[in-house]
Amino acid sequence: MRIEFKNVIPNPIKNELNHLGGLWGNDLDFNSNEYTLIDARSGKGKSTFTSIIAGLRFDYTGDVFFEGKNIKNLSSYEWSVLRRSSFSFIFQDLQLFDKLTVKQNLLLKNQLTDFKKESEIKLLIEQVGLENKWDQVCGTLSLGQQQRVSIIRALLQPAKFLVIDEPFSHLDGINSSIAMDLIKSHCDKNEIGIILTSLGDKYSIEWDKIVQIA
Amino acid sequence: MGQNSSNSIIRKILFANQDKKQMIYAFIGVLIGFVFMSASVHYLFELNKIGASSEMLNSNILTIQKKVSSSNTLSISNTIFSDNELTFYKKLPFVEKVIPVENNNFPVELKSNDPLIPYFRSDIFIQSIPKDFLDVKSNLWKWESGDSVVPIILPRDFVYMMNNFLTSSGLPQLSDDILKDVGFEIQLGDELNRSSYKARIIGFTNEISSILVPENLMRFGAVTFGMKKELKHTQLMLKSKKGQFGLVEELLARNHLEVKKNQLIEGKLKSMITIFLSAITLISLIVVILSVIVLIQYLQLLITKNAYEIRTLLRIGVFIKTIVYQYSKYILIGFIIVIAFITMIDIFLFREINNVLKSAGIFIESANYQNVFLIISILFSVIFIYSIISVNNFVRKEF
Repeated sequence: MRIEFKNVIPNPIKNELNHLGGLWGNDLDFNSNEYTLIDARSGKGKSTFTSIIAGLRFDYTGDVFFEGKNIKNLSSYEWSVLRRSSFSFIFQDLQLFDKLTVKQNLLLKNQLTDFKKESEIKLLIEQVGLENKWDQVCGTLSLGQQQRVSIIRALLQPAKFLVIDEPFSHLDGINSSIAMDLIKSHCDKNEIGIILTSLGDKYSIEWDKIVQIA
Repeated sequence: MGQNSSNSIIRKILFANQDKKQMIYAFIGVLIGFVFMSASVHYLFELNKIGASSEMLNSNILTIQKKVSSSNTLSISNTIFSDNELTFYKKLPFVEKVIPVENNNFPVELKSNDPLIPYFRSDIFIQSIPKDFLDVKSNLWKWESGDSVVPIILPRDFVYMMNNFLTSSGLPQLSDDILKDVGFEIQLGDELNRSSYKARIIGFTNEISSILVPENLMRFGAVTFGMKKELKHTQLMLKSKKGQFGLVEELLARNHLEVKKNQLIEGKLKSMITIFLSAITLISLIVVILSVIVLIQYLQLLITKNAYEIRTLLRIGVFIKTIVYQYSKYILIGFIIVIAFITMIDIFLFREINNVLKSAGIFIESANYQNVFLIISILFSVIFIYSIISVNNFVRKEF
């Protein structure tokens, strides 16, 4: 699968020429067999980039194509299908259901495609050190714990791309490393491309492409 | 694992923030509004049917005539309606229809011809009115030249008189059904020129004092046996528009006209109750509208409170239709419960009101709720469709 950005400029920054270059105002493409790092300081539009790929905002000029199809022309049904079988996201604001338990948050996502068995999900939770939080309500977890739940949730669906927006902002070095290893082995195994936005950290991965935003 | 359990988690998410107190207020409001409205609509329907089952004359119809006074007797004034007067009444805005009642200008005789009752014969007075003033099946109320059977409608007074006659002859009185099977014979014309027909009673009326026959027979009689005198109209049939009986009453007083007293009382009563029930219907309609607004606001609030949850569900790949389906199911179940409550309350309420009316001598068929429940079902269907469209629009906005 291929994502193409053609001269995309988000409306809020179209008059700020210093933002152009890198992601914005250029032609870029992302392939599902590649690992891409988008490296930029705060306020450079990393989350805007994630939101555009997720179909959450369309306030931009230029075009974005998925497999040659302009994403502005996708129906809500097509977006839902893409979100459950082609694109997996780890949002910066986590997007968990606070009133549900860890188990319910994870099973809900998994049951949309019946991607993994419950025992496999439990194994993943164990790997990030949350095995004793399985039946705990997410709203009562620390941000770091919630971030790990959000990462595991993103691994519970078939995908062509895993889009990660500053994923380890609430994690210490050890937990970040564990989570990144888990993500990488999952993506390697399932041939999923990674697009990761970062504030400068390269996460000890061999990136196929690094997009630097000044 | 699978679709069912994911649906149950989605349900849990979507209804976690519901305000049960507001839901109960909306429920009670809708219940009260619909119960009042259904009761008033039901009795409006029933009111229009009172007396109709046994009465051959359509509702809102009066037989009017001029008051007879000494001046009529002294020929200073007369009781005949002129063509101008007829035109004047036809043009009144509260009058739906007015026609002259045709009287026989030829001799008519009715006699019994059945072993069930003793022989009697009597010269009678017959009248005819157009069929659309009568509540009678068209295949019964017809007569063509050459037909051997004449359908007739008997005045109730005639039946009372006949039953008195039977009682005094030591015979049992006859019910309406048996009377319809008794053989009568009707003779038109005098001894020199006479035709006989079998007469068949097809119904009874309280509103007219003479025997009613089809218009064709009256015309045939006038042509074949008539006394060549000009037909004069002393009675008119007047059909008023619904709920405007007060204006008819005013007209009668102003023009020195009279009607049968029971017609006047029934009409006046029906008119008053119609206005009263219409007012209740209007008030309950307002209550229904307000309570439906509360209900829809409750739904909107429920969805608005769950905006984050809906947005997040959509972001993880849940289809819009799955979310709308959950709300539709919730609304549908809610409506079924409300309709079931309304039905139970209505059945109880109608039975009690009918019992009160029955004790006052007004009989209403207790099982006749179809119209009311049809209206309730239609209204709820409309509200349901509107709710689903609103939910669908909201969820799409969150996409």
